[in-house]
Amino acid sequence: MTDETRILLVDDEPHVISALVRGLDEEPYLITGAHGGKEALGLMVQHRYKVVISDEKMPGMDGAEFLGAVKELYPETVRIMLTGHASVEATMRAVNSGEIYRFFTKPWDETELKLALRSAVEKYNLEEENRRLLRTVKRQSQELKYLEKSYPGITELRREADGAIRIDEDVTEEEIASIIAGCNDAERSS
Amino acid sequence: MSAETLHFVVGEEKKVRELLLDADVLPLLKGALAAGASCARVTGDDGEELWGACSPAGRGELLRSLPLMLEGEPVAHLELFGAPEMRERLEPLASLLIVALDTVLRNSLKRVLTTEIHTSVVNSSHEELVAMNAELARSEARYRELAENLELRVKERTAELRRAQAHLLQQEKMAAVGQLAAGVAHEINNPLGFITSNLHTLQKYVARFCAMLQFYREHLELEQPRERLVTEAETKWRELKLPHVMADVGDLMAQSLAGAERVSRIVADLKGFSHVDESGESVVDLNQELERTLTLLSHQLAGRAEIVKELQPLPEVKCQGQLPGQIFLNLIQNALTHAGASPRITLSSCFDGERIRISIADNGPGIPAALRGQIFDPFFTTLPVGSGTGMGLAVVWEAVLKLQGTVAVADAPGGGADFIITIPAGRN
Repeated sequence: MTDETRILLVDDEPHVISALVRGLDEEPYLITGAHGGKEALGLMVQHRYKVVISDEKMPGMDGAEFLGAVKELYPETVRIMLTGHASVEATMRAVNSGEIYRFFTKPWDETELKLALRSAVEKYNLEEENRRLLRTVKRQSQELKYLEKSYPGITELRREADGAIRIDEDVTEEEIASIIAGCNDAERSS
Repeated sequence: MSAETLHFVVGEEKKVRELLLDADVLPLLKGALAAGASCARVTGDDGEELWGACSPAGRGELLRSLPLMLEGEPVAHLELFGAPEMRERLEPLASLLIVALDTVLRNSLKRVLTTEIHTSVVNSSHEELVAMNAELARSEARYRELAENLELRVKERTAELRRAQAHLLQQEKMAAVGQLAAGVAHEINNPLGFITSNLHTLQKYVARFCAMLQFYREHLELEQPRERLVTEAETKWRELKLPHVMADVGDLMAQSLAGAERVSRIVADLKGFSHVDESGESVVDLNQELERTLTLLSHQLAGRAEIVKELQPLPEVKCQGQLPGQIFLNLIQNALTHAGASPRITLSSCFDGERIRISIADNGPGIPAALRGQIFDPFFTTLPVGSGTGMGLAVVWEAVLKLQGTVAVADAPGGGADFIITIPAGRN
């Protein structure tokens, strides 16, 4: 989670990009600008961007199209749209094809945009964490299966009628303690 | 021919008077006189004399009275008078006369019956004809009324359609304006966006400048050694990120000013295009109107379409200011819609001393000859349902008519469509 937070701004208007970069100067982000969808997709091949902010009306590839492509190729990247004119149709297309996280119109409110960016980054990080945990769970369940295969019955828990866990009598206190310690170490190292 | 209209005379009372004519009876009676009767007459069943013939010598006595039968009933009597000595002679005569009268009566009756049947048949068919005629007259009247009504209804519908069409044209104009407004809003919001953002940033920058100046003021009053002041100031300078701010503030201002410039130009273009501050007719230069339209559409054209201009000086035209813009806007948008992925639009204008000729040609698929008669009709569109109203060119047509000009479509040299507008100059 320590890797830098990269944010990509896509707008055919260079002044808009530089204004955004100025406004977000205080925020702990690495900001890159692109003048169109094609250029932006090229940049996304090289780096992992947590958030993409795109204009809607751009020559060549429009915003909805670009964000749709981002959703296909990099579904984990959070998508935000910033547009000069929100026609209902364009908005609908953007939301439906790009599944955008937030929608801003120009002129934008600096504070709102900052907050939206923060929560977008937070969303990305949370989902990333979720994905990591899922991977861990998957791996552990595979390990469990493997253990059960090698030592049948090991993954089963036998309980007494009063709910106490029953342990075979030939296990000593020390052995139990060492097993617990081993488990804790494994937990820490994962 | 219905049986109801037939009155069978059988059973209907017929008077003897109706069945026997004087010409039938009188000769017979006169014959009886000639045969020696002094008086011969036929009386009705009420005893009243119907026909009679008497010799001037007087009646004498009744020698014979015989009933004249009709349908089994005595309807009249034949009475012969004369001298008693004539009885023998006159009795057979009376029988003969009765037979004769009877024959005549029967024949008469037959004739009357036949005539009556015939008459009634004729009458009935005539009545029927009259009825049919009346019926026909009635239905004709109905048809006429219907026809008149239809005409009226057609007129009403036509008027309704005209109204709807006018309404749609108006709507289309509004839609074109709406589209334009959307584009213009985008054009304005873009610079407005970064101007606003930059001003917010500038606010922060200014706060840092003030903080730095404040620092200098305070530290100058403290009269510290120079070196120390310099070091502390340097530290403060870096702390406030002033190197970066100083480097950026010039760009920030220049970019914001350029943005503001752009906004005011767009507004001026829009105002010029819409001729909103002119009432009635004004004098316009069509080339300038063409340029204005292009400026307004620049957001749609930039980076997407190639515009080739071949404009020659034109005389000024006096017209409603917004008409040229309507014509050019719709034609250029039409060219953009149909010219495919990389549109090239060629705009040319020239003046031949009488007429101004403006051509708007694209590099699209062109318009097939079969459709050229229809493209200016309202609602005619080649676009899929829901994507075009088919009113754009109708708006053009109407506007050109108001300019007393003509618009036609031809093949552009490259195979696309070429819309040619011809407007008479010197409408003063």
